[in-house]
Amino acid sequence: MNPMNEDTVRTLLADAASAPEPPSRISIEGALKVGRRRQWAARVIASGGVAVLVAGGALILPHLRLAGAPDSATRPASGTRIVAPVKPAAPAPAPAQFNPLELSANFGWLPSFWNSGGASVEETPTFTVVNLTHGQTLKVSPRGWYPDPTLYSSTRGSFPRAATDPKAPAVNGRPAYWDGNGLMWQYAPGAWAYLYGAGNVQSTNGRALDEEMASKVVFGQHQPLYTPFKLTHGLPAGWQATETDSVLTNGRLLVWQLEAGPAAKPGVLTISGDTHAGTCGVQPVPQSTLTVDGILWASYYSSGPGGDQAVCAPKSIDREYMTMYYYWRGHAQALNLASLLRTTKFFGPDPSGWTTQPIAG
Amino acid sequence: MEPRPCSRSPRLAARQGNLRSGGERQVSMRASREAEYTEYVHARLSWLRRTAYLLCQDWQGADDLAQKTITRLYTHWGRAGKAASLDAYVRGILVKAFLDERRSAWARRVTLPGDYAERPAAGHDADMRLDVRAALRSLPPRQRATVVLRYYCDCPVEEAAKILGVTPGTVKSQTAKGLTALRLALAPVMEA
Repeated sequence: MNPMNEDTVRTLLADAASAPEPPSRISIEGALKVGRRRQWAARVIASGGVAVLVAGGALILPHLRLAGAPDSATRPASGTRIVAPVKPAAPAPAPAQFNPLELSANFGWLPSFWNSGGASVEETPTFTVVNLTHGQTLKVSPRGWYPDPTLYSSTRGSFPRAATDPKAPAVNGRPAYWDGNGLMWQYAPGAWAYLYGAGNVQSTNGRALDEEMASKVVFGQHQPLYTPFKLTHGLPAGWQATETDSVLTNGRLLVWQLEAGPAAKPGVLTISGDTHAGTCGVQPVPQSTLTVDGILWASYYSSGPGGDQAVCAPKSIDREYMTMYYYWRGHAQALNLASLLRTTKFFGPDPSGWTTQPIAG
Repeated sequence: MEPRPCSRSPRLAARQGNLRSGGERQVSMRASREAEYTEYVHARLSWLRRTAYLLCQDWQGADDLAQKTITRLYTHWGRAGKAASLDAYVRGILVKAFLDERRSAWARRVTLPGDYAERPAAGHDADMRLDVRAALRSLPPRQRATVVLRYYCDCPVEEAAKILGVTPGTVKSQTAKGLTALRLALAPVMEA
């Protein structure tokens, strides 16, 4: 019987956090300085300076934009009007679900002072979120769903607060609403997108910036994501990739975590790359080991009901530790981890050799 | 042990209320605002740093994370003042910054040059604190953040879900997975 309960964990964490503190490098004055500078930049937007900056240079996330993206997505806005005239066009129908192995939607335009910084992306069949370093976030749902403004998920149906939230100017001719912190709009029949963390929705210019950005969002470009491994024999019947998490690095979206499973349990299998040394971080010894193509894999099982299984490589694979978590013992046989390991191809640390099709078949 | 504040101090809240209704001129408002901010950060810095330490598992990373958090807090101070719990708001900034950093940090490590030196394992450390740290470090970032929020910050499931931007169900499953991994890692030490 394992004696460690939740109270024990609380005590252990409190004790771990009470380690003697070395001298702090944190500078409140430094935070004030940087914070003041950022606020200045924010005030530039709010005061209408954005028009100059936008006209002066804009377009962002070149790495995220496909070569085939329309010119309108990259052209700076007019210097005299923040929001360019929008010509309603018949939108392409949104898919009923997204492919987690591709980027489904993307910012098409940002003002120049946000050009630096990174981006992270989470893709699931029913949800895409593109999150920029400075907090600008785009959430998109496929047809028949709408993104939750506060969670990283979608809800089935049509945006319910369309009846009560203040109406925003139509985005590319389609209905839009101000929802507290951001702009929710229907980008195609029955499909919704949400933008927040960009312009201050309390100010006229902030709202204009949101409208501009929303009107330039690109959908349906199917931009590839790059993964450091490939399951060369695919997944068990009825399973599919259910989530990818990627980060933008040197112009490519690199997948650092992939989840898969049957529709009823979408996150059964998580494969993620990590750099923990020595023990895969799971102590002290594995219940079993398995050597596949010269790589020693360690296997750990939890003892509780519905226990998890974790498999990881205690030695580096091309200087990188590949950790595979398996979270549902009931499907261990269906998945056959040994077979999965044997048929997983690793591409090494250089992303130029990574694949855009991590699951065969 | 450092108390783990879970709500805004009444004194600070009262001061903020007075400031809002005071109608000071812009310059003095900024000075007051910064004084308020500085007072809050001073009071909570140790707590913030220790929480960051649990997440990062090294003091250097913890300091960077705490620095990023207080900088972001400054730029959102107005919004923070309207939050039901200022500490919860700050926790949210901290955890989001940590997760963002982990995501991008991993990709940076992937392209490390050939002279990358592997860090030594902590598997032989006998000290319980080191074992707990090693066990925590073994958790994927999101799981680690969930465990720290739930069991160090004592956040309810709903609050943790809001901070992490996931559903309460995900918090529960991540917590269960995290606890399982901790039990696996620490069981031999606990039994000893």
